[in-house]
Amino acid sequence: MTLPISVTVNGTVYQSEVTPRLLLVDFLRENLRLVGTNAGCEHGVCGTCTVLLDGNSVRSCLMFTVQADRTEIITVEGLADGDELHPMQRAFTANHALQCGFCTPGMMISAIDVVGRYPDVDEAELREHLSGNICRCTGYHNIIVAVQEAAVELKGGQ
Amino acid sequence: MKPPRFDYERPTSLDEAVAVLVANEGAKVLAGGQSLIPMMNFRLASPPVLVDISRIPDMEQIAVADGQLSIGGLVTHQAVAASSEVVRVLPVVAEAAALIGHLAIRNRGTVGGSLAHSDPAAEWPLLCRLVDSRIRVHGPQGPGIVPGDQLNVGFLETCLGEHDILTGVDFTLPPPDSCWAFVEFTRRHGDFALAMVGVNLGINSDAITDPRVVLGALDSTPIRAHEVEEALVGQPPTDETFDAAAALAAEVCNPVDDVHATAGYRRHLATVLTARALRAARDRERMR
Amino acid sequence: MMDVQPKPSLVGARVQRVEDPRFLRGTTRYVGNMQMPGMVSVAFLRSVQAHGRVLAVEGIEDALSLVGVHRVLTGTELAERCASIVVPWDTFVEYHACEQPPIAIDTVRFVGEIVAAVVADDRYLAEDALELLYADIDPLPAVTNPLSAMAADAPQLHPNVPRNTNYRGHFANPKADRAIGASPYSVSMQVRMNRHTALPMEGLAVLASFDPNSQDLTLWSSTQMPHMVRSKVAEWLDFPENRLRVIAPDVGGGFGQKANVQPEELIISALSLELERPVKWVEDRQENLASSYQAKEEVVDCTLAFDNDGRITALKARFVGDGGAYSAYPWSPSAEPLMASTTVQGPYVVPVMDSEGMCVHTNKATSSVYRGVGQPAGTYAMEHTLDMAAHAMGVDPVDLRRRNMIGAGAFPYTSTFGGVYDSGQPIATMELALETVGYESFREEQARARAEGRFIGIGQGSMMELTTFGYHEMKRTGWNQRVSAYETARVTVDPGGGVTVRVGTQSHGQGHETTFAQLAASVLGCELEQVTVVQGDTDSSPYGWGTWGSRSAVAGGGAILQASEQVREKAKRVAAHLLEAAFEDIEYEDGSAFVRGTPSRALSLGAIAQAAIVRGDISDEEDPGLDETFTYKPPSPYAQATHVATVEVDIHTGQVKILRYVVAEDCGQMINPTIVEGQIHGGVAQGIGGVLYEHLLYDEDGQFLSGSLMDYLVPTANEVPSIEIKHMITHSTVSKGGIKGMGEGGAVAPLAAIANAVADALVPVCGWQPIDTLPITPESVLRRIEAHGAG
Repeated sequence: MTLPISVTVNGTVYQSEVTPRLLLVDFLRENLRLVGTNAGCEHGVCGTCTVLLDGNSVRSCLMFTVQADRTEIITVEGLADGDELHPMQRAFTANHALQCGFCTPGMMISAIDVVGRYPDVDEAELREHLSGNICRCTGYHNIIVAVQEAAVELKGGQ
Repeated sequence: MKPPRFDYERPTSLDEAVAVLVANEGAKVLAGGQSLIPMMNFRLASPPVLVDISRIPDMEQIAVADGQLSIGGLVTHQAVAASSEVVRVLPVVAEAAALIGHLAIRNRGTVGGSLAHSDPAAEWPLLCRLVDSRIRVHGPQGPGIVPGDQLNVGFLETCLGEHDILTGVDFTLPPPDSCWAFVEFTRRHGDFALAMVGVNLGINSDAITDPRVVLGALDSTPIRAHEVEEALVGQPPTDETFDAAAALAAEVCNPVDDVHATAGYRRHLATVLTARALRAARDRERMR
Repeated sequence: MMDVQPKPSLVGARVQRVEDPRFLRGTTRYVGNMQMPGMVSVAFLRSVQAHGRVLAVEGIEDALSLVGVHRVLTGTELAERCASIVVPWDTFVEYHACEQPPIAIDTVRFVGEIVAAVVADDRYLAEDALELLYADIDPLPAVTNPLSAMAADAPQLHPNVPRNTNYRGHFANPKADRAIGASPYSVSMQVRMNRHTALPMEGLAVLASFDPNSQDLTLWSSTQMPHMVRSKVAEWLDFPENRLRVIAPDVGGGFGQKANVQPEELIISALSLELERPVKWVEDRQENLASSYQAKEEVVDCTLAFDNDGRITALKARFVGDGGAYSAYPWSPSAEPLMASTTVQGPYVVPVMDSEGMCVHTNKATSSVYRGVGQPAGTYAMEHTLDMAAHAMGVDPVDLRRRNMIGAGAFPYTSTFGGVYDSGQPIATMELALETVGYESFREEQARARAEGRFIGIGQGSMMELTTFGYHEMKRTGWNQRVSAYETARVTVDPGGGVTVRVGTQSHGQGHETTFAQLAASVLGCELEQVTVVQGDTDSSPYGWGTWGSRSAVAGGGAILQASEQVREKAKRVAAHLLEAAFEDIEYEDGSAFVRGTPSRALSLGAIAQAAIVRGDISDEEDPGLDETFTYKPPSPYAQATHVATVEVDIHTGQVKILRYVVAEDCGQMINPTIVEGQIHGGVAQGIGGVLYEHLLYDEDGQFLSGSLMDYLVPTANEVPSIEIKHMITHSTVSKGGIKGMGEGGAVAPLAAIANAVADALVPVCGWQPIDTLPITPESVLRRIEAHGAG
């Protein structure tokens, strides 16, 4: 059984036929070859596979691709505007908020959702809001610094 | 960790959805999928057919009318947590919804899905016992109503028939001067709680009226702690009253051991959290 | 007169990482990202029994009847082509090596052990096939406690490992018991350290591709040690090593878990050789938790004795490691207790020491190395026992340390075990940490808080961190049978003036593309952007030992510094020839050479390279090219640090909240302080996980209970505080550039610091009680209060 879907990813419309059980993370990685979104636990805990779906951060390991029909998805590959990095990406590199890089795409996506909802988020709140994304390298210290810095820039830019 | 095969249906009406459920033995309803899909990825669940109800209209509303708060089955936890209407009329619901998992889970997970999944550590079944509520259901006989405190009957078990779809929940708004609190204890932020307690009570002329105390994650479903409530009725809202009543919470629940805590520790938490919730409710009232 | 202003050195500079863009943009090169034409995927049938006889693997025909399923490989079949994993250690007397067939043949010894491999078009199909397979296993009695596993009547896991004892190393000193008996004060404690997993966010991933035309096998693996993997896969599969290429592209964390040969590397390679097509396996989280190498479970006994002045007279310690089922190459599970038993002394003067390490097999997944390897347990033993002694003697714990720490003037200091602490200032480092946290004012705040019914505490952990495990240390301990731990760097200047650094270390998050470029650029005086670092590919990087054991900055970095200096010296010689000047008159600055006093006629590195490579415009004595290789036999410098934690304990729930976390550390010359701090942050977070949250649980029958990230709790941003870091800089006296390793140190001291803080916070509630079981769960705190509280 396959089903037709139409999904917009990073501004490009993809028409595809997929089996119902194909997880969204595998569709992105294997079918669309957008391998920036990593699968870290495949049971919705670690947050590495987080993408924006119609503007909301979601776990792409906890969605079947068919559920994403008629939605608009942003992955890490869609954050930069050509050569111009997204403010979150700039803040991550400027503050050494990534080491092995495996959690980084999901972490940035979650952070973008968080600072979009809570532009004035303080450190304690930010730590709570990012607690759905596990990082094993950075101890979160520089991630928190980076997200706060990006939050200021994103707020100023609005 | 890849899910097993299944057939997928995406009906656009409740009757159609029920018909698919009736026609396919073992078919399961798929709402946000935040509980079902992890189980499928572990291959702990293998439904032959999934009925995706996300395109069925009229289940994504939050409405306040006639003294009740109505939440559609497809409303997400995050939509509840962020709803200024909910915060205004029934803040305990918004506060509890904000404690569910993490943002990305709340963005997908639905009120109806959580209620139907019936995890004893989930917030929604507790809320349905804490506040007078009615569960809206659509089944082969059409629409129906289940009292909110009768839906969740056991561990991952509801009173619904296998062809019923949970379409929403209506909460009766408590008196505006009632005071409430919702507290939970987790190892880490966003984890399933080891114990949680919701309280709602009135304070009239320095006496407690209509107390309601519900314990979550401490039994196969959330439970009303009637003994605790009886120990509160008519008493002054003092720490002594609260502590004496809360001590009973440990006795009325029936928790289990798991890798995170023993039953004994959970019983202890029942008392500690009940006392804290009662104080928080009173102190919130006093701040008003 | 022209004023030549040298650029500020890149060594020690906070340079932004050059590797970041691909990680930020999602154009990464993790093995799991790869697709190849004809590629097939593998899933493994794994044992659900902790110990048993494999009678049969049933359902193979049913599995093969599924469309898209190509092969089911059993252990018996694999054994015809692949040797068993064995970790020899002939130099050590009390050591017994077991054998591990990569796929179990007749016996399984832990839940999660591979019983069969399924090859299918994709992972979904492979898992469908698993549901049709069934391993018929006749259960045997299991043993899960290392102490009981040593008993004569315990279930025996391996025929050639008597009493399940993999290793026993007793650095015995009969004077220890006498000294303890003769001392006015002595305290003893036992602690059970919890079983951990490193949990890199990327699990293992392996892709093998055999080309029947060229007869070459290429193996992509998320490994920390590509060259060693190549040697051992070639040996055990009896495949010519020079036809095997191992590539470790981007690796998503490792922390030691990927510093071992994996059974899966052998199986996937064997399958690709057989099927003559690319075969891929990406470990899922369930497999990573249950089957990947685990770590750190030990039963620790420690006794410290003191004279009337509070000076240590003797230390006696024993570390019994729970080795799990098998032995990982090259470390064996003995690495953990061995390291603990040989580093327990820490930064203290210990006149007499008797220390023993043992490692015992049990029916759990195999233990190997994880960040710090034994040093967290050793540091915990020393630091927690010191606090115990301070309370027993009525001395401030800080004062007790001041009395016993090795003074700065005593370096180099030969430890009781014979390691040479090359340099350091432990007391000054500790004082810096205490000053930063405000020790005295915290004690006042603590008294006020107690009066309000709040229970806050402070604890410290001070450590010497054995880093690099260099060439000589490997020889001294006999580990060189498997790992000699030299490191080679090749530094090449191309005719355009670009510099390529090739090295055998393997960055998996540490930022070597940046720090190693900083080293070469600083020596060659060129821009950072001119330098490219090549690593993780056995075809293009020199044989080397990968990245583990806080070795890369010292070993790889030292080799790069020396090779770069050789390039610079040669560039000066070539310049002397071109400028018709004496070598002694040539100055080299900012990437160009000139005759002293005439910088206006400087030759750039590119111009020199043109002469040396393209035109052969060099003296007759000179070899053409500008390409130097240096093989370094690195030393083992000691870094050191003091961590101080303050915590608040909710005595009603037992919940521990970390209030502040301060690290004062000294890793000698830093290459990039930003990266150093990042390493400390990450290490501390893993330490916090280890002491408060992380615990791989097995029941008594060996059933695994921590199979998801809902069960195995790692700290999130909400459980880790902001981490305050202070640097001391005492250059190593033994390493090139004064560098000391530091990658693991952050994870070494948190266990001790936080446990000490929790015990301190609880003093008014239940007196000072040793924390004898890790992790410190809320429930365990309450039990301690209940057992010892005044009521």
